[in-house]
Amino acid sequence: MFKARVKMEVLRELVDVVSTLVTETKLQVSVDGIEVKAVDPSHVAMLVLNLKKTGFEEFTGDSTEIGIDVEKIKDVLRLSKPGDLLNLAYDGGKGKLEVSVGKIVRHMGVVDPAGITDPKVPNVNPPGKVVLKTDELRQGIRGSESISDHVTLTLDPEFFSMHSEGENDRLDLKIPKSELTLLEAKETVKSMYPLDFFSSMVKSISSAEEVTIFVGNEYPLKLEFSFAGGRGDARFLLAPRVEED
Amino acid sequence: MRLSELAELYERIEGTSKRLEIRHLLAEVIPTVPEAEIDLFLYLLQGQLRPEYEGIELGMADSLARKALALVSGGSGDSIKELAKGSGDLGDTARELLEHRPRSLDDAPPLELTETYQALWRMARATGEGSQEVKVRTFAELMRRASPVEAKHLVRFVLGKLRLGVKEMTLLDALAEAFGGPDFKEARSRIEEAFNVTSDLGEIGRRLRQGGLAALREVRVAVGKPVRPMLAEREPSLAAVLKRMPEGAAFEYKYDGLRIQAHVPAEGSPRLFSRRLEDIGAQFPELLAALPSSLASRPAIVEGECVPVDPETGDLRPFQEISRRRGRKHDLEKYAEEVPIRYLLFDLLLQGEESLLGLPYPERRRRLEELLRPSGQVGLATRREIGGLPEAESFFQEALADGCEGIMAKSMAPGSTYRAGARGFWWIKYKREYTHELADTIDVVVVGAFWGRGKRAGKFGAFLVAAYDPDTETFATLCKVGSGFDEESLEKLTADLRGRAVPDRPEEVTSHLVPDVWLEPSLVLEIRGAELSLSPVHRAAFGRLREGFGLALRFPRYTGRLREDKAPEQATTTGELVRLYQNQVRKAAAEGTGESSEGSPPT
Repeated sequence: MFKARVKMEVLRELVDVVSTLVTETKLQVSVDGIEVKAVDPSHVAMLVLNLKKTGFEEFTGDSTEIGIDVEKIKDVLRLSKPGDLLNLAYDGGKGKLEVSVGKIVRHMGVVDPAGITDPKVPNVNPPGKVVLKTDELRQGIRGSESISDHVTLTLDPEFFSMHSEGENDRLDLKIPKSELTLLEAKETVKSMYPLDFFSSMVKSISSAEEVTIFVGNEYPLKLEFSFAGGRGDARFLLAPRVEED
Repeated sequence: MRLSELAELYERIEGTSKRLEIRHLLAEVIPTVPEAEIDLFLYLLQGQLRPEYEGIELGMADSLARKALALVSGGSGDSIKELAKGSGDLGDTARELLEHRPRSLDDAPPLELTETYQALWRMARATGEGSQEVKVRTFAELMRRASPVEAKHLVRFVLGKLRLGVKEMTLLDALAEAFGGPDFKEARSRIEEAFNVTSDLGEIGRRLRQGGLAALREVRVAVGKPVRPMLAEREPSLAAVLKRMPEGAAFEYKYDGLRIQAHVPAEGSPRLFSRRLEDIGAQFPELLAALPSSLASRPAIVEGECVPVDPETGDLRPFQEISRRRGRKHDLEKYAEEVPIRYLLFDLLLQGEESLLGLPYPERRRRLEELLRPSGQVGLATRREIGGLPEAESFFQEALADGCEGIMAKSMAPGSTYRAGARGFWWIKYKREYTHELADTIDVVVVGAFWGRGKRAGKFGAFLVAAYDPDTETFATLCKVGSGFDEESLEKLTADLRGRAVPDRPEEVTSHLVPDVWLEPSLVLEIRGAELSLSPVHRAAFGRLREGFGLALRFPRYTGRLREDKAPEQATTTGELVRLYQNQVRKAAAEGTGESSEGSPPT
């Protein structure tokens, strides 16, 4: 069973983040809130996202799995405006998720959760950690996109940098430790990552002012950020691209 | 068993074209396949998921396979299309893509044969709304976990382009080598015999793997598994036919119809298999309905010929009228009404739990007669025991007069068992032969064209051609001709005729067929053919020889001569065709192979 009332902005950010990886996903409901785990078909990128019960305006739920077509939620969101509250209800019996906003009620066919991949999230603990402004990261990524399909992240005891290199052009973003909220790196570590997933993920972040990035040497990236006023959090993992010789 | 072992075998088979070498390769691996997987292994080797007669097709479109590849390789569907154009083979492209695929967050466990099979099965079973999604997602998951070499063969598999040349016969060879012991020939023939009874290589392989040749004794005729039809030899004369059957012969009408093996279970709907073991029941709903009550007991497997009949007179009608049902999904009820059929039985292969294959023909026929409760829909093939040549001659003439193409002689000897899939002199067919090709060429007008396929894609591959009818000043279709053209002439004709394409059938053309492209009648071609026959499809001399029928040219081919010197109105006329047909009938009658000038239905 699941019944909740949520701010349009919160649901929109959740859906935007999830849709960077998948078109269908499983909403894992518990008494404490909801969890979404998603992996792209090539298993290059994964996402674990939690929204606590306090992140909703109203919430009642017990252990339930709901298979969701992300596009359909987006359709309803398009009917709403900032500040609106959406009601969600699912009792499992009718196989429909009821979503209403204002005077509109949509009874949404759900997807069989058995057909949706349940990713096993690997334990990723890169040695370097940096906390930086989302805007600065976004700017670096926008710059890189016109240069290459890849971006190299470097964490040094003294700075954080992004570097991308095309045939004729290169782009560097370097932020000294003094201008970062936090930087923990005992030594220099760096990895190259495919830009497409990274970029769409960062662009989907709308409320967090800061993000935390973990980097290692030729090691998966971990990116964490919160939403819904700190009552939701997201963890995004991305496999590195290893240079061929 | 790992999928990689099958993929490696595919690779090695691909590397050779020698049948013997392929046989050795297979025979080496087959005994190592676990008992529980041997059937799956054998189906997959043939590019199938189930025995061929079940007609299971994966039906994966190129575009869907590309989509799945794009999902796991980080490319777009379009860029993959470009790559595949370069290599000419999406399988090769898949291999290349996966060699450079991005690293993933978790290690993909290697694919097992059984789980791969199950995934392919899910893809084959997916139908209706959302099925494309299921196919793409399932295949993407396979691609994610596949090695580059596995991916190459899986892609070819789902596209139906495995093209390894592992044909049934090669697999039978390999099974004989693997399980047959020292006497290869003996083993091979026992294996083939068993295969002919069930048509299921998976089952044969499983039994061999379980208990060697001895286990083949367990192979039984079963409802739902088509028995390969017994085949007949030919002789040039009725005297020669009788000489082959010193222990007595019975003649049956050889109907110009569709040979069907009907499997009638104790409960539920029968299944109908064609000569090529295709399940064609859907085309004959009225037969499916009539069969159970036509047999005194079930289950049973019977064989017979399905023939179209005239609903008013009960006379046989041309076989083409059945073939119009082929591949049709809609309007079947309408066809069933317009072209009623009769199913005329001539053999009984299974009665209850008892296989009749080992019984002599007279006994099988006797049991068939006892079992059958004749109805309007289901009857017995006309048959007579033949005492001598005069009797043989007169039965043959009767058969022709009744619209049959000849007779089927069957040995009455004690050894006349049902030999599944085998051709021999136990059955001999004797037909009215057309040895004389039409001496004259015919000049026809091109009125339509069909696009070519495969190598001929982008060019016209066949033409709808017509004769001129000066009485009505129309062009009436005579046949569709696609033989006798070389690539160059097709190219030239396509270029010449394209400009004469018109959106609809031109007023002055009469046709039942609708070509891909209608053409203004202008170009005259010279063609040749085997004979003229009455046709419900073509419109030349329509109704002049028989109501509801026109004339058609059988086995037409282009002589290579473009009659640019002729205007369309100077093409062969329908009147000329009528005279040609009448000559042909007279000639046949004069040679004692008897066709009345009334013209019995054509073969």
